[in-house]
Amino acid sequence: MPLNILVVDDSSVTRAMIIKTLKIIGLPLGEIYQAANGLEGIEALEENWVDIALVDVNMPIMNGEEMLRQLRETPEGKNLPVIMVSTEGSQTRIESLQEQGAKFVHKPFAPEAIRQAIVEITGISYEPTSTESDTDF
Amino acid sequence: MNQHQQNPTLIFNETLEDIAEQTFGELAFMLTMPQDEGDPACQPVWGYGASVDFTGPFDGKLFVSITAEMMEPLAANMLGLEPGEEPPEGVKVEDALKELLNVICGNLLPVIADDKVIFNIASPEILADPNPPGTIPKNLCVGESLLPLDSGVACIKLFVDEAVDLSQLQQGCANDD
Repeated sequence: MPLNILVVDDSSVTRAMIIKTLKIIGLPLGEIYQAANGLEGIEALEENWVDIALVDVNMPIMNGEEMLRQLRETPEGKNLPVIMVSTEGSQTRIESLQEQGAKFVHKPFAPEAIRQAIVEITGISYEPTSTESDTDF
Repeated sequence: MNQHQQNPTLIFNETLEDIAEQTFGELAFMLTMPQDEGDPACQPVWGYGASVDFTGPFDGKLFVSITAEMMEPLAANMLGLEPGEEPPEGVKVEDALKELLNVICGNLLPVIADDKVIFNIASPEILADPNPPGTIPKNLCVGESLLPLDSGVACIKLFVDEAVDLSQLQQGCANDD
């Protein structure tokens, strides 16, 4: 079943890199939604069915930490698989995000790190449809 | 005499260079190249500059300047574009430099401070003046690195609030080694 994905990052280049990575790893993709901050991300979730959200931490208007906190307070977002993709280096903050059920992928990331996080957080198994590379993003 | 001897506050030159070199390599496939002192690259003409502010146990700013010819390959490499391929619709190529700076900053702070403390990193900004700043009021330059890369030259400079205790920062960095 194709997965609808939400990518939340204030960098258009990073959103494009993540989307390219999702294609490289051969994930069965449905709709891909994009948001430039946590507030836009929550709005996108209210308007669309999303299976997985990939979210940056440091963003203007609403950061990813606050977005995750608000999300977990809603019935729809309580169990949504969320992967934080960030340069965040504070173990304190990373552990706080993980306690809220999010996976963490550190930038720069390899496609395999995204694939592994998706498999672990969703429990899905799939056959990659294209060749994965060792490229770092 | 090296830069550290010339300016005793430049305590993070090596750390900054290591992290910047690694980030350019992993994120944009740009590798450092050996340079002769007489090489024109030693007097680079900067084409683009960006800065990012961070706040936390101490506040500061990180700057990056690159030569003009670097921007296109930087964005193309980060986006994995084939030769002649245009960036996806809505993607701004300058965001590549901002994201690169963001990654350098995010990877640098836990090394020079501590990986338990929390920093908030603002959104990087493209600067009107691409030249690396010499000084900033109420800030100390604690690291600078000039990187000759295979696609151009980059300069990275780290400034922190002048009130910061440099000996504590040095201790934190030593503990991470």
